Amino acid sequence: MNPNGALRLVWQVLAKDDIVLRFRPRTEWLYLDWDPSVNLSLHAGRLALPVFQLSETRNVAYAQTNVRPYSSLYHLNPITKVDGLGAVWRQPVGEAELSLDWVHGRTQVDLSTGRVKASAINALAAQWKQGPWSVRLGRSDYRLDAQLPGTLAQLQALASGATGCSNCAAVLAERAPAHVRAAINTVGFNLELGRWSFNSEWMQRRSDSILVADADAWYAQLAHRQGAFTPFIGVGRTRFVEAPLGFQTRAGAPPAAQAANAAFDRFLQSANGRRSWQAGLRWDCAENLALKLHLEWLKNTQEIRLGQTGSISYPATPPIGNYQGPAWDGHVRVLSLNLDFVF
Amino acid sequence: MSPSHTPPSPKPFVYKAFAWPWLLSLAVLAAAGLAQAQAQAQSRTEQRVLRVPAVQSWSAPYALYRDGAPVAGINHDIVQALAEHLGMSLQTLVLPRTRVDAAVAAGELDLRCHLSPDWVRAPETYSWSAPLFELATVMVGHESAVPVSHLDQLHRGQTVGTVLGFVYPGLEERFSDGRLRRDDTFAVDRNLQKLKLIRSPYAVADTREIAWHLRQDPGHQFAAWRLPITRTEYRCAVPRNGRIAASLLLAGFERLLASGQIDRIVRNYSPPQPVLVMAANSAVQQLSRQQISALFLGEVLELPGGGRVALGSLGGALRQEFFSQVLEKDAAQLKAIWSRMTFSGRGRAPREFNTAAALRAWLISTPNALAFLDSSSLDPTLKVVYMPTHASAASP
Repeated sequence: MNPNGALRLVWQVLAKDDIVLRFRPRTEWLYLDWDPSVNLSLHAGRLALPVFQLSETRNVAYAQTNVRPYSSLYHLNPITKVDGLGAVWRQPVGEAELSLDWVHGRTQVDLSTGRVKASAINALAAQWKQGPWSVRLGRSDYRLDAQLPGTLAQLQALASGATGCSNCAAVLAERAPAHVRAAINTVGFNLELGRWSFNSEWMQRRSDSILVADADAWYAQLAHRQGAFTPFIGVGRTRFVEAPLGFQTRAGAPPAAQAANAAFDRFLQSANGRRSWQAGLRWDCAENLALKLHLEWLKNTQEIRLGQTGSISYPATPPIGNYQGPAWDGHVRVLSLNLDFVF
Repeated sequence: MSPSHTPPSPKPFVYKAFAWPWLLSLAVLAAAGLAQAQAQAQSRTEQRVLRVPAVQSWSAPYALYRDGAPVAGINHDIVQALAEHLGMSLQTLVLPRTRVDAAVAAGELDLRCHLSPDWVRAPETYSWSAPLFELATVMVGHESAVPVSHLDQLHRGQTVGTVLGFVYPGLEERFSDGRLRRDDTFAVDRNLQKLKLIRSPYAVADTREIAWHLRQDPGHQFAAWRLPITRTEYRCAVPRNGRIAASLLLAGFERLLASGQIDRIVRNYSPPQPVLVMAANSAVQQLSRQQISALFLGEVLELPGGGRVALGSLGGALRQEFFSQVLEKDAAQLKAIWSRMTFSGRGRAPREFNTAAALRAWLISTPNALAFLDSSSLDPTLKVVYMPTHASAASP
C-alpha cells in the first residue's frame, strides 16, 4: 500500500526476550490507518496503547538517550497494545500544536503467574507542543479480569482461615475482586534547549483491587549533547500507596499466625517501592549506531523482606515463599552496555 | 730506399675519391638525426605543457584574477590538479570569451573547462569529459521586486539583468520575442551589483556565483526566492586538433573524479547550499522554516493545504548543512527521531538518494514529494519552496 496515501497498513513485529514468549516473534501492532482529513487519522486493528510518553517507542532503544525507559514508571503497566479502534487529531494553535490520541479496545497479557484479560480499555492522551517544550497529559481506564491461579489460591487460603485470619474473607472480598477497575493518570514534560534536554514524567495508578496496587511514580532526566557524546543523569521513584488490609488474627491463635497475617497484609499491599538513580553515556559512534553505557542504582524504599515481582524479581521468604537464603539488602546495581542500531 | 719512394697504394686514392660523399652523407644524417632529436625533445617538452584558456568573463568562484592573471578558483584549480596529476606544467592564456574559439581553431589550446556542448558552435570538434558537477542558472530578485514562481508572471518587456554575450537557453525565446528584455553588463558581479542597486529588479546568474557575491557583500538585498532557469553539466573538452592525446587528459579527469578531488575543489570555493524543493507543478508555493522543520521532524505529516508529504534526502556534506541550518539538529538526533517515526508507524524517515538526478526524478514522479538538494542541482522541473537564510544571506 502507498505509505504516503490516505490509507495505510502498519505492521510491527517484535522479538524480545520475555518470561512467556522468550524470543518468539509476535505481532505488536497491525492496523489500518486512514486519514479522512488533514488533521484526523483513524486506526483499526492492533494498536499501541498511548499510556506513557514513550509508549510507542519503548522497544526502540536507539530512539532513547538511555538504554531503556525508566522502570520506576514503565514497569507499572505491562499492557502495551490493544485490539480495537483509535484516532489521532492534531490541530495547530498559533505556533503550537495540540494533539489528541484516543484508543479503545481490549487485550490480554500473559504473565509468569497467569493471565490478565482486559475486556475494555480506554486511553486518551493530550499533548501540547510549542517550540522547545511539550506537555503531555494522559488518562487510561481498564476493566481487568485477573486469571492468576497461584495468587488467587493464596487469597483463597487466607480467606478460608487457614492462617487463623478472622476477617480475611470479608476484607479480600472487598479489596481483592478478580474483576478489577483501574485507572492510570500521567503528566509528562519535555524541554530541549540547545544541547540540553530535560525529560520527566509522573504517574498515578489507582484501582479497586489489591491485585493492581495503588502506586505513584515519577522520573526526571537531564542530558547534554557534546558532539557524538551525550552524558545523562536521572532519578526516579516508585511508591505503593495501597492502604493496609487490616487482617485480624483469631484470639487464641499462635503468635506465628499473627505474624503470618501481618506479613500477608504487607505483601498484598505490594510494598515494593524503590528509588533509582541513573547515569550513563550515549556515544553515537557511527551513522545508525549508538553505544550506550548505563549505570542504575536501585534501592528498595519500602519492604525489603518480602518477595515481589516487578522489574526486579527476588524469592520470598516464609510464610509467603520458602526461600531460606541470605536476606536481600534492598540494593541493586545494574550496569548495561548496549549497542543500538537502526537500518 | 725510403718508403717515400714507394708508389702510393691505390687505397688513399680511393679514400680521396669516395670519402667526401660518405662524410657528406654522415653529416647530413647526423644533422637530420640531431634535428629529429631536437624536434622530438621539443615535442616531448610541448607535450609536457598543458595550454588552457582563462576566459576574462569568468567570475568568482570559478576564477579569481589578480593583476589580470587567474590565481585561484574552481576552473583554475581543476586544470591545475589535472596538470599535477599528469606531471605536466600549466600554461594559461588569458583570453576574451570571443577569442577562445579562434584560439582553438589555431591549435593554441589543449584543453577547455567550464564548458557544455550546448555552449560551443561545433561540439564535435572536441572530445568531452564526463560531467564533473552541475551548474544551475536561476533568476533572483531584489527584495522590493514581486516574487516570481513562473516566468509567465513577469510582465511583457520586463528587463532582466544578464551578462553580455552569455546565452541563457531557458530565456532566449522570451528575449527574442520581446516578452523579456536583456539588460547586459560585462561581468556577473556587475550584473548582481545592478540588482542590489535596483537598476534591474531581476537578474539571472549561476547559483554559485550568486552565493559568492552574497558572501562578499553583507549589505545585499536579495529576496529569499530563486526561480530555476536551466541546469547544465560542467565539463572539460579537449580540442581534436590539440597536441595532447585526448584519452590521456580524459582518463586524468576520470581519476580526479573517482578520487573525490573535483568535489573537494568545488566545496572549497562553494560550500553546499541546501534548498528545499518540490515539483514545479506542486500547489505549494512557499514554506516557512518552522513548517519545514515540523515536516522533517515528523511533528506534522501533512502539507499546508493537504496531502501527506513524502520526504526525500541526499547524503554527504549537504545533508549535514541542512540538518544544522534548517533543522538545528545533528545527524544522531535526527536518526533517533526518524526511528521513532518509523517504528511507531506515524511516518517515515526521508527516503535517501545517492545522486541528485535520482532525487529529481523521484520529486517529479511522486505526489507531495519534498526534498532538499544543492542549489547547483536546481532544474526548471523543480520549484524552490524554502531557501535557508544562510544560503540566501551573506555569511562572509
